[in-house]
Formats: sequence, structure tokens, C-alpha cells
Amino acid sequence: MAESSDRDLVVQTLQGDPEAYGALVRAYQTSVFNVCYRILGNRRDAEDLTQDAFLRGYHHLERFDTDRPFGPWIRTLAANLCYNHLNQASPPSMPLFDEHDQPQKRALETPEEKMIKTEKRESILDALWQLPPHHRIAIELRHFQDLSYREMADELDLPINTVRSHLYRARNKLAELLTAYEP
Amino acid sequence: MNHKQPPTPSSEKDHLSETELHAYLDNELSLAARERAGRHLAACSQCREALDKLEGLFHRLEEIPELPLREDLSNRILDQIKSERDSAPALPWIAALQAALAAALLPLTIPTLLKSPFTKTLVAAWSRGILFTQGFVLEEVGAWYTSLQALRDQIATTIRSGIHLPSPFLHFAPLWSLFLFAALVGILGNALLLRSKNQVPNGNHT
Repeated sequence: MAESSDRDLVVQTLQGDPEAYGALVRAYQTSVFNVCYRILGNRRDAEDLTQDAFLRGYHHLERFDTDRPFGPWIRTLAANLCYNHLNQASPPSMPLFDEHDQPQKRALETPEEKMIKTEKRESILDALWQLPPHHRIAIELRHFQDLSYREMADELDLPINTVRSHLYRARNKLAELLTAYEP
Repeated sequence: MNHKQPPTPSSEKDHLSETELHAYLDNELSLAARERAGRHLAACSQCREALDKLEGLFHRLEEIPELPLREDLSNRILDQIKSERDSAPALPWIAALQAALAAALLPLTIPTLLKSPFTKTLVAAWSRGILFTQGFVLEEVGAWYTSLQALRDQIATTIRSGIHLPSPFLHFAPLWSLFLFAALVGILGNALLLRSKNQVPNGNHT
């Protein structure tokens, strides 16, 4: 049997078949989780927010334009949710590598090249998590969700110049942090 | 540099501003500004170097690999959806119940309505061709206002007297008319509610 398209699955969900939504979750949960992880910097929170994002997506599915792909929609929704979560957090949680991630990653770091690559990845993620939430969301939406300045402004409900300013400042700060990490 | 201003194209001889470099890589410059920036970059090693540095950051971000999930979350999410759905009142059943009650009210109101002076007035106005005239509408609104005032007084009197309940068919014609109106509004409201629930409108998620 041919696999149902995202559009078909959305329509079936709207017609009352939650199993169809389950198929959408299975298809996009990893990418949504990674959006959350990049923004939150914590695996457990990222899993919780992934779940919340899909639940919210389910409840707002009527607003989804079925002519558009489902993936970017649910990922952008997740990014917004994480951004709001960070803004509501009091005091702002300092992003850290999850304690459960470290041994796992380290266990794979046997070949030297892989280790260097992982360290580089960790340094950029570490730098990313040191940015304030509004800078993190700007990087996420532009670099990972490929949104234009206008689309970012619409998503964040901010003037386009503010979004542009956040993005440029975020990049400059990232570059600065990465330079500090270099040996 | 001023981040608050949109990227403005500099002259070809000037170095590119930081804003222009960002917008160039983001493909957010106008075609003319992009061409001008491209010509400048081809000739200026300093700006080229700044651009490469920024591009390097873009590549570093692209290199972040996806982390695998430790477990499939779909069951957890579906369980949550199903439990929410089971605990929520079923909207179509509520709507069906309201519609049934409204339908039951309709036959009760029809005999009263047919006998009411207002129906006779409407029929007379229709035959005279003045049904939709402003004068007629205003006159009727005034009459209804007076009737409602009378109804209010009747209710107050009934409440005060406590024992002597008048027959609603005789004395409460405006009340039955209100029931009819409420029933029609209920049916229409539920129809609109169900229609909007089954629609898939376009637009953002938020």
C-alpha cells in the first residue's frame, strides 16, 4: 500500500482519525525534538516540549494550510513554543549539556577525527545556548527553518528591523563565543 | 553599525557594511543591491574575507547533526490526545440535544404565533406592500417594545402574587415568541459552530 502523504494524513486527522496524526508524529518527531533541543539545550525539556508541540499542532490543525508541507509548520510551532517556554522560565534556565547525553556521546568518541568533530559541534551548541532566547530563536528560524526576515517577523510578531537586529547580533555573539573557545 | 536600519546599498566603491554582508548571505538584498555587492566583493579582498568569516559561522551551524530520540513519542502523544478527547464533552451530541429541544419548542409556538395579532399585522402589511418599509418597521419595533414592557410588568405581578399563574398561551404570547427566537438562534448558532469546526482554514498556526 502506498504511504499516505502528509496532506492525506492531516485530512484524515481532521476527519477524526487520531492514528493518522500518529503517523505524522512518527515522521517528524526527531526533527521537532532537535528544534527543541537546539533552543532549550536540555534533552528532557526538549522531549516534553516536543510532546507539547505535537499536542498543540493537533489542536490547531484546522489552521494548517494543507497546501503547505507539514514539517516546517510543526517545527516552527515547536520553535515558538520553546521560545515562549524560555521566556516564561524564571529564572532563565542556564542551558547545559544533559547529564545523560554526555557519557553516550563520549562513548562514541573513539576515532580522533570524530572527537574533534563532536567537540566542534559541542562548542557551537554550547555557544548557541549561551545566547538569550530572542537570539536563539532568531538563529533557529533563519538557519534551521530557513525562514525569510519577513516570515520571521510574522512568526515572532515583531517588526522586521527588530528581527534583523536580533539575528545579526546573535551571529556576532556566536562568532565571538566561538573565537573564545578556539585553542 | 546600526542594526535597526534595513540594509541600504552602498556605492560600489565603499566597503560593504556588516548589515549588507548578513543580508547578502541571507539573500535578502534587492537584485540591484545584490549585483552591486557582488561586483564589490569580486574586487575587495577585505570584504571578501569578512564574508568568508560569516559564511564559516553558517557552515558551523549547518554541521550540527540531528540527535536521535531515545524513544518513540507517538504513543505518548496519541494517548494524551485520546484521553483529552474522551474526557471532553462531545460537541455534536450537545448540538443534537439542543437542536432536538429547539425542534420540540417549535410546534408549541406555531399555534400561538398564527393566532397572534402580530402575525395578522404582518400578513396585512404584506398584502398592502408595506412590509419592508421603514415606517412599518419602526412602528412594529415600538409595538414590540411596549409588549415587552407589558411582559415585564406581568412577570413582576406574577412573582408578587405568587399563586395566580396565568395561562402562558393566553397572556404570554411575547414570551413564546421569544422562545421561538431563541430556538432559531440556537439552531443557527450550532450549525455555524459545527461548520467552522469542520473547516480547514488557511493561515498561521498561532
